[in-house]
Amino acid sequence: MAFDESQLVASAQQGNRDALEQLLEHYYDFVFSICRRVIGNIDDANEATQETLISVVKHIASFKSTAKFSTWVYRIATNASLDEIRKKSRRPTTEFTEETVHPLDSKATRSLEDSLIDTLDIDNALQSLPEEFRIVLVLRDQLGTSYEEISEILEVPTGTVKSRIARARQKMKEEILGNKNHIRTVKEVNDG
Amino acid sequence: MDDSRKHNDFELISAYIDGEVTDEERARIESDSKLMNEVNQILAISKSVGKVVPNNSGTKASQIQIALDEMTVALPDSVIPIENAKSRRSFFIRPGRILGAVAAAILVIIAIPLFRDGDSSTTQIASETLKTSDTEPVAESAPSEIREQSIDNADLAESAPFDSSRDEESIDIEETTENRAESDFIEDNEIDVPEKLEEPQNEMLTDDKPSSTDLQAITTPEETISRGPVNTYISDNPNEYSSYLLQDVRIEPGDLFDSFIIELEATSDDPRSMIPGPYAIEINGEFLVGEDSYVLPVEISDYVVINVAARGGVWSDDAGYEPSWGSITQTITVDESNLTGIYFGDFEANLTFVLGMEPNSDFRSYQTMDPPRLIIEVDHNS
Repeated sequence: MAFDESQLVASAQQGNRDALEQLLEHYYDFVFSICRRVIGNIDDANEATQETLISVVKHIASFKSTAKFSTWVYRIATNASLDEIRKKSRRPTTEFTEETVHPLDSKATRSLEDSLIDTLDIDNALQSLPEEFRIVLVLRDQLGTSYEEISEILEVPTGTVKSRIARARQKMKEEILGNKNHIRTVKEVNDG
Repeated sequence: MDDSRKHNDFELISAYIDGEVTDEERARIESDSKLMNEVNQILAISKSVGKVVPNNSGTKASQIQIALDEMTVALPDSVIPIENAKSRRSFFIRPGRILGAVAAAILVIIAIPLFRDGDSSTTQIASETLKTSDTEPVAESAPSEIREQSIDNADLAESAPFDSSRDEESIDIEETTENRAESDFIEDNEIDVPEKLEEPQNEMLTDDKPSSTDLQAITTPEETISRGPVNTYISDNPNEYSSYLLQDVRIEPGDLFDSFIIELEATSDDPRSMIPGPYAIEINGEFLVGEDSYVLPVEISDYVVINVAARGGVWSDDAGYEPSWGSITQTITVDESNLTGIYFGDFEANLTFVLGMEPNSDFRSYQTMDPPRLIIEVDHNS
């Protein structure tokens, strides 16, 4: 059956549980991805994801169809991630566990080593960005959100969005290439 | 290449990747092999960032289920179910009566410690059976240090639904063991509250003058509190008091007093059975704005910090109202009033406001149920 978002949203707003479930199913991976990328830690990402889903359920009645539903959901996910980061900053730092660096894309055909390196590269590089840069990059590159939508989600001018995305990419490149060069050097030394 | 040129090129490359360039800019990039090389590098990184990161399927199913369960969740612990809707309706249709009077029928001033690490001597605990008074708003003045109000969870569960054989115009809420520890304060309230209810009351949100005896809090320097950030959280569950969603904040000027009104929206199917959750008001208190610091406008020397357990939102003429979380700073003023309201946003289901007022202003606060509101009335300085 075709995914008719506007119909599902309307039904969900009238209390149709099945419709709401379909919407949550549809958006779950995107929401989790936002939280995972922005927060950088699976446990906290799960908390933010749960918070996002609950917020969607509780507030869907107040969603206005003049806005895009996806924009509304991503905004909630972004804010939940920021809340989680702020909460986290008030809590004692947790240990860096294996789970936090475990490759999630197990279906990928790349070697485990490559996956680990890539996942680490991206995660570490993302986490090195200031959060306002990280968010725009995730919204743009992961969700394909337009500059205008990002501007709407974050309530900043489009020019700022454009500038932040460019700076974020520049920093990502520096981080990742820097790390790769380091890894390459280590490997060359180990290989003799 | 200087830094400025490099940055401009990078912004151009980034925009090119996103298809946000003009034809001229596109042509320039595509004709420059160095820039195209850069494009390919950034594109590769963007694709890596863009990979959707799936979660464990079991976690996904479980999280969706938990969220869906919120659709049918019973009344949150933070609300008082009301059974005598009939008498309440008849009350509302009386001309000249105001919504605040309803609160007298339903508001029970129990205070439980909202400040986990606060000074217990300033924590107000009360447990009362309040009789309905159809002329009566529940006017709660801020005490000299801090005003706190909350609903006790466990006892509410026991009290709902109300036994119809009871006096229809009363609500009983039992005192918990925990609350009994503050018996001294309870005694004060047991004496104080009924007395207030018997006094002739002004009509809230009208221009009737509040009697001076109702205005009990004065922002004098002696009342300044030195304490940590206000936090209305009393549980690790961030949704415990999220039943209410901020709907509007405004200042309504009056002849004798101005009202700062925080209007909420019930998210339950049965909003009439709910009242706003806990709130706290602290005179010249400290406040947090996310992780950032905020300096009040210089013209505000006296203020109260108001914390309300509810979910946040933002509003604008263009976009209307939208739920929102995190730090927001919005200032509310009207020409006819000297009050300045500042809304700082929702952090962990805790809304923070600062209400700037003229020095030594008297004020009082109370809640209404329909619509759910927290109202701070500030007397005009004579």
